[in-house]
Amino acid sequence: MSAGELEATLREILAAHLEVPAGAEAPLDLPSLSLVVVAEELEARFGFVVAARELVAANFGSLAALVGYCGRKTAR
Amino acid sequence: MNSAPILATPPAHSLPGLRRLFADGAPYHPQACALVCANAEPITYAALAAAVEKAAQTLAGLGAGPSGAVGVAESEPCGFLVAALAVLECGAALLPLDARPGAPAWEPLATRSRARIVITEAEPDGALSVAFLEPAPSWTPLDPRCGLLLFTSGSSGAPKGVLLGRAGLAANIDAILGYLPVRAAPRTAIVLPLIYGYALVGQALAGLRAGATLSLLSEVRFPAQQLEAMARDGVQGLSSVPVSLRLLARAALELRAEGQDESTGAIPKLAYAASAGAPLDAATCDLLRRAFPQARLFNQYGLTEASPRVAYCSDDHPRFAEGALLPIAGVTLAIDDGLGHPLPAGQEGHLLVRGRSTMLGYLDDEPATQRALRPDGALVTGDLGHLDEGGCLFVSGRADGVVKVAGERVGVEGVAELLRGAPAVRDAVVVALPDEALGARLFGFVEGDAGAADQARLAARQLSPAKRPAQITQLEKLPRTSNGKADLAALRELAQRGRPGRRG
Repeated sequence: MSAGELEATLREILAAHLEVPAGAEAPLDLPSLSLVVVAEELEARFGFVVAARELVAANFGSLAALVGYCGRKTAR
Repeated sequence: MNSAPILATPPAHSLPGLRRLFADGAPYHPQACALVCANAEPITYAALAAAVEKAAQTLAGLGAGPSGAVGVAESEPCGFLVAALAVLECGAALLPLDARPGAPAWEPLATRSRARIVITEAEPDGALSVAFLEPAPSWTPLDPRCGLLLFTSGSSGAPKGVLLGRAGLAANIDAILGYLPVRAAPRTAIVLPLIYGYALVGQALAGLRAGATLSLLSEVRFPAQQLEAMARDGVQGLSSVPVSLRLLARAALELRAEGQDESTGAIPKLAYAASAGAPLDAATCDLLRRAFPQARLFNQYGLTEASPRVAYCSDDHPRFAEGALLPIAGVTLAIDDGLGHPLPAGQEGHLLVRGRSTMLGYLDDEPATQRALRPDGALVTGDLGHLDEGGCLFVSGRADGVVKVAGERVGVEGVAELLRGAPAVRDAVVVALPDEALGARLFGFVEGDAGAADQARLAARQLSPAKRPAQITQLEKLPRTSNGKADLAALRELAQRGRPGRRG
């Protein structure tokens, strides 16, 4: 999956929870409950496990951070 | 009718706000710790009482009182609780409003509720910032018995305002404390936003009623940080929804794998973990038992219209794993055929709830109130289920095409109706497919002129994110059954084939 396709998929996943900002670097204000639902959605969609310690702003704080995180996880 | 209970000998320390609900005056221990908040000093019950008194005096001076609603649009949980208790102390109806970043504007709900005062900020010492709303041209007082006005998510259209009476709230809180061991394990974590009835009534008000210490963690976003705070605060009890409990359990298990445990102070020693919103499945129970071996597990069932708790079950019950539920004290359950004819044990039908905690009605919606409340006071839950011979309840699903998406109740027909409103759309159908993470996911199909799908997508943007179909597909003709109705099975098949790839 290309980075563009990955971003589009993540936008679709996030859209069930919040207005996804147009800019990938803009902060994602995911409430705590939505955050854990998104984590499970990523696991179901991509087949990797989101460790609880990976649920941090560095990975989930913006769409760009999330694209990077999912890209690294799926590349393993 | 709604003033504070008049006691021959009131307790020396009566918690403002709660003392308007409970006949015993809601006594408390002044030096006990009431609230532990992120980035603030812990607050004792004496300090909380003083703050609530001060805030209530401010509100009373502004004219707040019975038969009116006062909104609380404060997202910081400590300030929210001070404000909420102050509203109750004034005898007004508490209207929780979602002021979190990204939430829809709260003003329309406040206006619908005829709230003329909305608390926008509350300090832990009781200082308030308020907004004043223009009164509606034809102001009608609220039912003076109303203590809490909660808006449902509006599963099949606009959000509905649920009017909950003070007596019902008090009965529900005491019934919760009858089975959940909050008094025995009085350090409670609240990880859900307090605008939810489950968190506000079932956890925060119940905890304060029990004299517990509330560790307010809804603003702590990440599970590992929540767990760290719970361990730091010595939390003994946790209530949340399954997805949140799963991640907290996994965070604890990651720490255990690193050699950490309760003795190192990294993992809280939980006496109980309670779920609501959905029952715990076997895998989640297993995670929780490994993560928190001392914790009793609880399933809980309820709905906003029941103040909110209806039934519960703990994991020492022989049929816990099957999803059995027992009515809470003061509640009776019945199953009927939807037309008022009772059904015998074992037969599935419509679940009815009777008891003091059922709502007073819906705000300004008499037809919906009449549909939900039978003349004998029974609340029609909209859920299907059966009772066994021993009186255990088993809930099987919704009777009205409502599904839960990301924890939000969504009526698929209401969404389809909105799509049908787009000019180029001749007909629209929405189907829901089970979804491992979200619970369910909606898929829309439209039939119409060129651009119908684009117009439908535009229309769907009016909906909250959970209600928006994940995909909207335009078909030349919607598949129909032999009697002309939309072929839902065929559409579900189409939706399944068209959905993005998933783990096998």
